[in-house]
Amino acid sequence: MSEQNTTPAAQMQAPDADALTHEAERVERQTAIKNAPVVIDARGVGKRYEMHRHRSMLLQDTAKIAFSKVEKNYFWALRDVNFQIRKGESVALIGPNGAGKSTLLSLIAKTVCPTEGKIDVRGRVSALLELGAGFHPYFTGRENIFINGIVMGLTRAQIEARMPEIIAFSELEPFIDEPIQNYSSGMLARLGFSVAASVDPEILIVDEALSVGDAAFQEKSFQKIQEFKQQGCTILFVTHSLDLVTKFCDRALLIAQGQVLESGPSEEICESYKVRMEAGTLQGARSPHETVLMPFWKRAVAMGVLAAGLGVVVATGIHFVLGNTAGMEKPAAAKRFEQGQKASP
Amino acid sequence: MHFELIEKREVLSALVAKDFKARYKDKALGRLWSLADPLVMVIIFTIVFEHIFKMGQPYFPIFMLLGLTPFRFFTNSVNGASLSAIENAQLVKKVSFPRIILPLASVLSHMRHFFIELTLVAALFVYFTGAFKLTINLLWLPVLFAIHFICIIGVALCVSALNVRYRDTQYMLNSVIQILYWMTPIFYSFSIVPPKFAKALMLNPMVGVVEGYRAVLLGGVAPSSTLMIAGAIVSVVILVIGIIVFKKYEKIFADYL
Ligand SMILES: Nc1ncnc2c1ncn2[C@@H]1O[C@H](COP(=O)(O)OP(=O)(O)OP(=O)(O)O)[C@@H](O)[C@H]1O
Ligand SMILES: [Mg+2]
Repeated sequence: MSEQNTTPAAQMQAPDADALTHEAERVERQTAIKNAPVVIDARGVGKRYEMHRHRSMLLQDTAKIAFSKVEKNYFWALRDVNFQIRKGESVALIGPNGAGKSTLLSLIAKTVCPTEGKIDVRGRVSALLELGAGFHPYFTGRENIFINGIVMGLTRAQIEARMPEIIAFSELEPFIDEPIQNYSSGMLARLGFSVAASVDPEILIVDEALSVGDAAFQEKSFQKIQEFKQQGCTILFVTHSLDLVTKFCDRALLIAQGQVLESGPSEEICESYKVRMEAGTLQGARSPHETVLMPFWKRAVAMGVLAAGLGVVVATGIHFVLGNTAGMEKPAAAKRFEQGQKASP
Repeated sequence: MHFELIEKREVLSALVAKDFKARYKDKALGRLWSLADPLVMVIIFTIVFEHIFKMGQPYFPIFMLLGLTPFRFFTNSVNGASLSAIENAQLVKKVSFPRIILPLASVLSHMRHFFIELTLVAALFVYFTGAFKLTINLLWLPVLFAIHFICIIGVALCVSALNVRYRDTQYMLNSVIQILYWMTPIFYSFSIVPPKFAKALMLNPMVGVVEGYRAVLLGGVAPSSTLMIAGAIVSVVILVIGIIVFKKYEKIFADYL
């Protein structure tokens, strides 16, 4: 730091003055946020996934339908989630692995639909969901920037104008015309963040994506995020690094087992998270499953299909083996076969 | 949804370009390859049907190409659409956009290819027959193309959504296409089909489409109205089914990719 150049007196004073202005800024920010409009509003949100799902419709499944009692196993990745986020807030989602953080972010980014409840999002969302960020392996970095920019809502002209800036930010010039399947994971993260940051987001979502970037790039990205924050952009942030949470976020939501356990100032929540983790009372994924019994009509239909299939096989067999003894006309193939037998000595 | 689609037409055109490019990315001779494929087929079939079986179909190569090209537009689009969501899984999981863009982009990119092939067929046509038959009946072409397109979009919507949920859809689709290949008058003419089968064959909209293209382009006459109406009705039914199926599954695309 620059303390070496200051007098001892200034040294004594500086931290205090700093702390005071920080505190003043903080209070100001908090009142501003309190009066800001709500931009993300989740009411009773739940997301249910199917477990051990089968992915084929073939005969084997017809048999499964006919003979198994359980149709589906469901698992609630999120349930009864209620919260509001106001414009300009920066909020961290913390919690153990499998808690439902990424699921919640996908619901906000609207790539996944909630099974129940409603989630209202107002404003342009730019989401950097987990590693990689929407990229096609065979295309070059440049082509990927283009497609992603378009899909995120930029026009062709806008992307062309911003392209040099995006490439410069990612520091990937030498590789930008290489297919991205040859990129390292950190390079992909650089590309992803550079595109996500270029679309003037009103709501920026970052899911752990930066953790694979090197120290220099992480520093640069956080500076960018800080800039967005100052411009009044709402930021949602998932990370397992609690230091970052206390440094960057006004508020934190503690999520475990698909529910928001606590919400409040980031320091408090991080403390509570640490305490709970040490006590070992936090679990990631929710355990209770929900099973749906196979409806009777489905079993009936499946049995019918199996019986019909079996019937056809048996009838064809009888027809061929017994020929016209069953009172049916002998099929041409059977006749030819018999003729062939007679002809040969 | 449809409003959104107009807003997102830039996304659509970017994905069309991407799909078109992706198809030829790894191939040394690029799109020449995909033109070689039908040409080889036509040469073999011409040898077999004209020189061995002596069927006596006038302008057989053109006759066959007018069946093969529209049919390839159908199969390529439908195959491409069935994979469209899976190939773009990264995009689906990470960005929200109307999912219907995926199969549409696949169909439109193959439509571009279809038009290129048609131009080549037209060139061959002039080479073989000397001139175009410029008749008023050429006005039927847009109608025929509309039926053709509606049928393709309907099937494409259906298989692209189903294939996300049930991955064996694409394999079943291959078998169905094999059957359809023989049930479409590609190297034979609908007129030689015995009346017993003709009615069943008419359920395949591609019959009306192929026969229509041939009547207009090769014969210079109006297409058969029975075949065309049957094709139109079946195509619209397929489209409605496709939209219903797609609506049902589009919400869970990201869950299953
Ligand atoms: N597409 C899916 N199909 C089935 N289950 C899923 C799907 N996506 C997520 N899950 C389940 O939902 C739960 C929550 O997953 P999620 O990715 O939201 O966790 P997370 O909080 O982000 O964890 P991490 O800290 O490891 O990133 C997990 O148990 C996971 O297995
Ligand atoms: Mg996660």
